[in-house]
Formats: sequence, structure tokens, C-alpha cells
Amino acid sequence: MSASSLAPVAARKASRPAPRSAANRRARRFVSRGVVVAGLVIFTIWTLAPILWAVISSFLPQTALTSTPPDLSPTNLTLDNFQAVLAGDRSLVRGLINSSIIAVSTSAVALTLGSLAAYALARLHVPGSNKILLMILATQMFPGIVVVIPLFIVISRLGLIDTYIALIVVYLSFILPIVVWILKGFFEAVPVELERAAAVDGASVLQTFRLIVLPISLPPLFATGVFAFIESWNEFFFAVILTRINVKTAPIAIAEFSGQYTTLYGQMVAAAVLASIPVIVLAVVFRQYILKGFVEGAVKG
Amino acid sequence: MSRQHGATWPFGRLRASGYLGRQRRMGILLILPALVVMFAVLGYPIVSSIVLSLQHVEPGGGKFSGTWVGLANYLNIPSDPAFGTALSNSIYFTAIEVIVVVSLGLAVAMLLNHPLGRSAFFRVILLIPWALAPVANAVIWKWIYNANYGILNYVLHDLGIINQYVVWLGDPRLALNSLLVADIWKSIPFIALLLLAGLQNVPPILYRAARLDGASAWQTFRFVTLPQMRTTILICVVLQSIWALKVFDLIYVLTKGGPADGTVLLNFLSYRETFDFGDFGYGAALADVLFVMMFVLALIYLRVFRPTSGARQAGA
Amino acid sequence: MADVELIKVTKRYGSVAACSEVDFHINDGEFVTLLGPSGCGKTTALNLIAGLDEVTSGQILMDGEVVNELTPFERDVAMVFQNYALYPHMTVADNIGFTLKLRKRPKDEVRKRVADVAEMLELTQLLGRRPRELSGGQQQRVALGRAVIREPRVFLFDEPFSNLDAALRVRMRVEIKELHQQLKITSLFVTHDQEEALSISDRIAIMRDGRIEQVGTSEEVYAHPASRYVARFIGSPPMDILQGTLEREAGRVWYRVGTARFEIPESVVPTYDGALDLGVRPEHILLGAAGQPVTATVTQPLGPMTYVTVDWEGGRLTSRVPGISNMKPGEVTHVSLAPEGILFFERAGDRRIAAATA
Repeated sequence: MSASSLAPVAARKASRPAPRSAANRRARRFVSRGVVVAGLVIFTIWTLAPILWAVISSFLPQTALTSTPPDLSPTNLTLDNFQAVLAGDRSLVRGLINSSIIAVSTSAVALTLGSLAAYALARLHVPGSNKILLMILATQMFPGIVVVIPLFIVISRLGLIDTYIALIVVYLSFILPIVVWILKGFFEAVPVELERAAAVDGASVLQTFRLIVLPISLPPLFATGVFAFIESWNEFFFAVILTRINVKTAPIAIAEFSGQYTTLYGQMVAAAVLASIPVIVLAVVFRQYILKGFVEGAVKG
Repeated sequence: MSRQHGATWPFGRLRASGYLGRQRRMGILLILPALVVMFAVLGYPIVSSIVLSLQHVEPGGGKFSGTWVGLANYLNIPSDPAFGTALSNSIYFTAIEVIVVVSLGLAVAMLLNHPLGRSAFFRVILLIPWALAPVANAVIWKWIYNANYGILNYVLHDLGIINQYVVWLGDPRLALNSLLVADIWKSIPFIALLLLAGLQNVPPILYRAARLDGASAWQTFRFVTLPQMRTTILICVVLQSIWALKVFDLIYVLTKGGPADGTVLLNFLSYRETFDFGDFGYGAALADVLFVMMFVLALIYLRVFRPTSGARQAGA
Repeated sequence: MADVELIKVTKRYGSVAACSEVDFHINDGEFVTLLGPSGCGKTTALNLIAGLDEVTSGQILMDGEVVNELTPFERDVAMVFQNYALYPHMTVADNIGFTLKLRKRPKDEVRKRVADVAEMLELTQLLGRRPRELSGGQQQRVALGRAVIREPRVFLFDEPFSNLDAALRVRMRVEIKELHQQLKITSLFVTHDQEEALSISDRIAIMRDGRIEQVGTSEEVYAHPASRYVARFIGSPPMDILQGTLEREAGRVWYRVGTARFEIPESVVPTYDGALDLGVRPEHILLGAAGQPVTATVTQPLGPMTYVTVDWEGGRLTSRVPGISNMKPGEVTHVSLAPEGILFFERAGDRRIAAATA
């Protein structure tokens, strides 16, 4: 290629994009920063507003809430709504207790069975593990309605409607797969040589799992347990179909409050707030693990 | 020996002693309980649901007597006006929700990926809507949408945007959209978190290269960010579609399907037919139709996206 | 104590053979090294002997009994891993004593035996620490302690020193050698570092592509390599290989490489039909007034010796000159070969061809 085929230097210089002036650059950066700040502010308000309003409303008496504009003066703040919701025979307390029992039991069993299964899939050369993993994925895709109609019939026939055991087993059926999926990823990250060293030292498979793998995996185990707890606690669909009175869970109690006392706004919201505190606290406390584990696990999955 | 497995597979490998044999045997043992639970509680009902849908089932005092009607339940579906409404509602709801949630989620994720948005505070407030029970979310929005005293009406009226208080849940179209907003509000955070994780996996050196090549912000987004995020976005679309079709608590608490079936979605329809009207067979048929639709949807997604990801891997 | 024997051991992954028909015998109390580059099958062989992997075919025997079906623990082997594989959530004392706890030994016995081992390996001060608080060398010694406390039949070492820096590596070699002399336990050591292998082994087995190339003492593999591969793998800097032709003239034998030719004494000349390569190590390449004229190109002073590379048209050699050399690049000198260092290899294959009288 001869030099003459290239445009003369001067022409080339002229066709290069003109360098932006310093002031221009500063202005653009200011604008883009402004956009980001505005975006973050809007996002924060949008996300927090409904929650804040719900919390504030739960502390206001009926009169304050039903006046226009809503009477927000701090002198009105009261605990009446919470008291009303926690007392009486329609109380939320029964729901909270039942939800606790069910959520704790479900997560405990899910962690136990799930961690063993996850370890088997991760390290123990289970034949057909790929198919099993696909099946686990598939369990998350069912609409609950497909499963609950036959389950309702079976559980009714067994006389197990409105029992803890029925709800726990049903919850396990869709929480267990997630637990297995998540823990499998974490167990695979444990260095294989540690388990080999344990084998050479004379540890059986279960001993290796119990004494070496589990102690190293406590944070993800906790996080997965919290996740299972939250999923059990918040579940409504199966609960509303499979329970009646004895095992009424917190979400059902909340729905009842909103359905039967449609005009007691403060109490309705107070019930929702109260029943949400445990799970939100858990989520915030364990946010590190939740954020790291599940989000990345889902992306890699 | 030409093949590892030989004639005794798989049991030969299980019978083998030694380190690997022991592991294999324990592996089967340890995974059995979980598999049993999953099969018993999920597998059986799926089959049973199909069987149910071929019957006419009447609940009567705890007993469920069924008579075979073949495909009659399924044939009734197209002529059921409620089904048509539910179908169009579900399609509308899912499509809008997926588009809005994934787009806004991506915007939020990009905001949080920016140096200004790195604070842990933002990540914490993302977790709160996710941890909130769907029922609690429904109650909160029920209060917000309240026709007489709800804060939404008050604020909009005060800002002059509306002249009269709106009955948000009173008009079929409006009610459906109100439910949409409530579910979108709850769904954006988690999707944003997933997308944020995906964003953080984009090698920063690509951005640097784009800047050197003189790409504008929009071009960088279109030619660097989006292609890299392809898989993550696909995952979010699939997840959000599934979740949109599963929406139940909102309907139950806010509208019970009304007004005029305006907020009936397919799964709620099946629920109503089964547990309110007692027509178990028909409800099962509806549920099975929904199941097939979700299955096909998942297949379509995978089809649309997998050839590209395969090609991308080949060319990478 | 035990001897270890491998009979036609093969390990296949799908269609790839990581080990092919390996026949090998380790005598009781011997320290043997498996040497070779990555991928040659040495770690696979080690894992097969340990029992961490299954053979595809063949037998592994210890003390005359077939151990194919036994777990690592049942085979009574102990292993030291490349990445130490210390249990991160346990203290040093617990790491070392883990195997005894598994066997439900009484606490006092465990404590005493751990203390003994710790003293032998100078770990007594560190017994209460966690692995992440220790340096690489300390961690490796804990790994050794965990193996030693087993009093096993066989010690297995999987490149245990590759993660240590050079100075530490040399010190650990001495320690391992001392340990072996003290305990006299049959040991199999895997490494890719030929200097390491030469310095600590009773015998070395050089592996390549899943097969054993040669087994012998350090001296045997160094001075009498079975193949060109072994000859170039052992020794640093590697043996020089010249590709020339043998000529006979006036009753004497010469090896011609380009413009130079080197006289080969009759006793060293092999009987062979095909083309031959000539191999010679740096210490047998002599620079001075006698021999072929060459030009020095590169000098590498290393303290006790200097490596001088000399060129001529058609060939190049690197000679080891004791002490610091004054040679400068471009300087002309002469090179000759010491007869005792001349080796011949078939050019087509790889084998060394010995002389008729050898």
C-alpha cells in the first residue's frame, strides 16, 4: 500500500471527531450523575413508600385514618391496632404460633434431608444425577393448582385436613428441591482433597459429611434454612386450601382480617406488619448469604 | 475391557467395594428420602390430576365419588366464557408484568452497579419486598387502593391529577392493572438482584475497550451490556413468567376475581371451580391445561434462546 | 512396612488411558519417586495405589495381598496432598489426631501421640492454631504429622512441595529424607521436579503418557538413561542432543555435526544400522585449546560454575565450566567431548543404543 493512497495528513486530522471541550465534558458528567442520583432517589421512594405507609398506618387510630387528609400528627400514634389484633379469639397469635411451628419444622426437615441429598448429588457419584437435577428444576415450574386438587382429595380421605403434618409434607415437596439445588452448589465448592484426606484418615462417607463438610458449610446452611423458613412462612395458597381452624397460619389470619374487618384499616395493616416482621428481620440479618448464595446460584443455574 | 460399565452396570459398580463403591452406595441411600418426598407429593398428584380431569367428581361429606366422563371436561372449556376471560387476563398480565419487571429491574440493577449506588442500604431495601409475604403485600395495597381513604386517591387528588376519587378495584380493566402494579412493585427487587449479579459478571475490560473505541453510553449498553446479559435476562424472563402465572394471593385478598371476572387468572379460575363450586373434575382439567401452557412456554423460551447461546459458546 | 506391586495396571477415562499396563514394584522400606511432566499419569497411579480411584484392569498388591477392593484406610496407607488438605475448622492438634478420634482411641492416648508427632516435626508451639494462621511450610509439616501418626504401611506423597518457595522446598527435601531414614516406611513420592527426585529417592520411575519409561537409581537414570526422553528430562540444564552422522576414516570413528567432527573411541561406538543422535551432558563438554573450533555466544555465571554456550556452523553445545569463566561472547575457543559422557540414541525411535562392549 503506497503512502499516496492514504488521505493527506491534514485531511485525516480534520475527519477525526473533534475533542470535546473540558467544560462540555464536565457538563455531561454532571448530567449523567444527576440522572443516576435522581434514579436512585425515585427507586428508594418507590420501594419504601408502600411499606412506610403501611407501618405508619398501623400506628394510627381509625379516626386518623378515615379523615381527609389523613391525620398524621404524632400525638395520634397508638398501639391500639396491635393490641386489638393480638387479643381476642380472632387473634393473630394463633396464626403466628402455627406459622412458627410449621416454618421451623419444614426448614429443619428440609435442611436435614436436603443436605444429605445435596451431598449425594455433589460428591457421591449418583447415577442419573443430571436427570434428577432437571426434575428438581421442573418442580419449581408447576402451578400449585395442578397438584393441590388431588392432594386435597387424598388428604381429606386420610382425615389429615387441618393438620400440621399435611402442610409440612406438602411444603417439603417444593421447598426440598430448592434446598437441594442450592446446597449442592455449595458442597461442590468444598475442596475434594479435604474429603479424600478424611477418607484416608479412615472416615466413612457419613463421618466425612458430618465432621468435615458440614462444619465448613455452616453459613450457606444457615442461609438456606432461613430461605426455607421464609418460603414456608409466607406460603398462602396451600395453607388456605388445606387448613381450617386449628392450623391456620399467619398469612391466612392476615387475609381474614382484611376480609372480615374491611373497614378496620389500621388493624388490617397492623396484622400484616406484625406477621411480616419475623421474615423481614431474618432476611435483613442474613442478607449477605442470601444475596451471595441464591442470586448467584440462580444465575449459574 | 472396552467399556467401563460392562454387563454388570449399574449394580456391578454398586457392589464394588473400596472407596468409590462405598460412596456410590451411600449416594443412593442419601438421595432416596428426598426423591421419595418429591415423587410422592408431586409426582402422584400430577398423574392423579389427569385421571381426575377425565371424571366428574362430586365432593359429598368427605367422600369423593367420581364418574367417568372422558374428555367432556376438556370439551367444556372453550365454551366457558370465564375461561376466555381468564385466558386473556393471564396473557395480558404475564406479558405486561414480564416486560415491565425485567426492564425496570435492569434499570435498577444498572443504577445499583454505578459507583453511587454501591451502598448496602439499597441492597437491604431490595430485600424487603422480596421477604414480604404476598398476602401482606396484598393487604398493604388493598389499603393503598381503598376508594374512600386510600393514600393513592388522596395524593393524586391533592396533586390535581384526578378530580374524583377512583375506585381502583371497581372497574374490571382498572382492577387488573391495579393488581399488576402491586405485583410489579413486589417483583422488581428480586429480579433486579439477579440482574445485578449478571451485570457484575460482565468483564470490566469490555467497557474499557468500548470506551477506547469511542462508543457512547447507549452504544455501550446495546453492544456490550445486553449481549453479555443475555442468559441472565432469559432466566429472569422465564422465572418472572412462571411467577406471574402463579399469582393468587393478590386476587384472593383484593378482588376474589371480580369485578365481572375482570381479575380472574387461570389458576384462580381453577381454584374457584374446584373449591368454591365443587366441580373437581372440571377444575382439574383447567389446571392441566394451565400446566401444559406453562410447559410449552418454557420450551419456547429455551428454543428461542438456546441456539444463540450455543453459537455464542462455539464462537467465544 | 510393606512392599507394593503393580501388575499391568491400567486406568481409562472413557477412551483415554491415563495409565497403560503399568508394571512396577516397590521394595519394603524403599523411597521411590514417580517423576514426569503433568499429564503423564503419575498422580493417577498414586490415587490408584491409595485406593481413591478404581483401576480399569490390573492388580495392586501390598505385602503380597491384592488390595484392589480395599478402601484407602483398609490398605493402611497415609497420604500427603499437594494443597495440604488440612481441615480448616480444626486446630493443628485436632488435624493430626483426627484419625485416632475416628478410631475412638481414648483421649489421653490421642493427646500423647499427637504431642510425640508434634515434637518430631517441631510443631509443638503450633498445636492450638488453625491452619489459616500457619505458613505454607508449617502447614505442610502438619500434613506430614497427620500422615505420620497413622504409622501406615505405605506413605504416599502427591507433589507436596510444589506450593512452597524454592528455599523452603530444598529444606523440606532434607527433612523428608531424615524422616524416611528415621521411620523406614515404604514411600511413594510424586513430583515433576527432576532435581527433587534425584536428591531424595532410592529409585526413580520416570513416566510418560501413562507408561513407565525407566526405573532406576539416581545414578542409573542420570548416567544410563534408557531413552532420549529420560536423558533430556533428567539433569539441568538438559543434555545436549546433536544430530549428525557417524563416519569411519582411517580406522577411526568420527561423529560429524556440520563443520565439526568429534572422535569417538571404538569402545563407545554402538553397532546399529540406522541414524544415531549423540547426547552429552554439560560437564562432559570440555572447552580449551584442543578440539573443534567454536565461538562462544552466551555465558551464564551461576557462582560455582558457568554455563558457556558455543556455536559452530551446524551445531551448538552448552558446556559447564567450573568457577567463573572469563569467556566473552564472540570469543573463539575449542570444544571436545569426554568419552565417558558420550551416549547414542536412535534417531527414529527414542531408545539409547549401548556400545557393543557395554
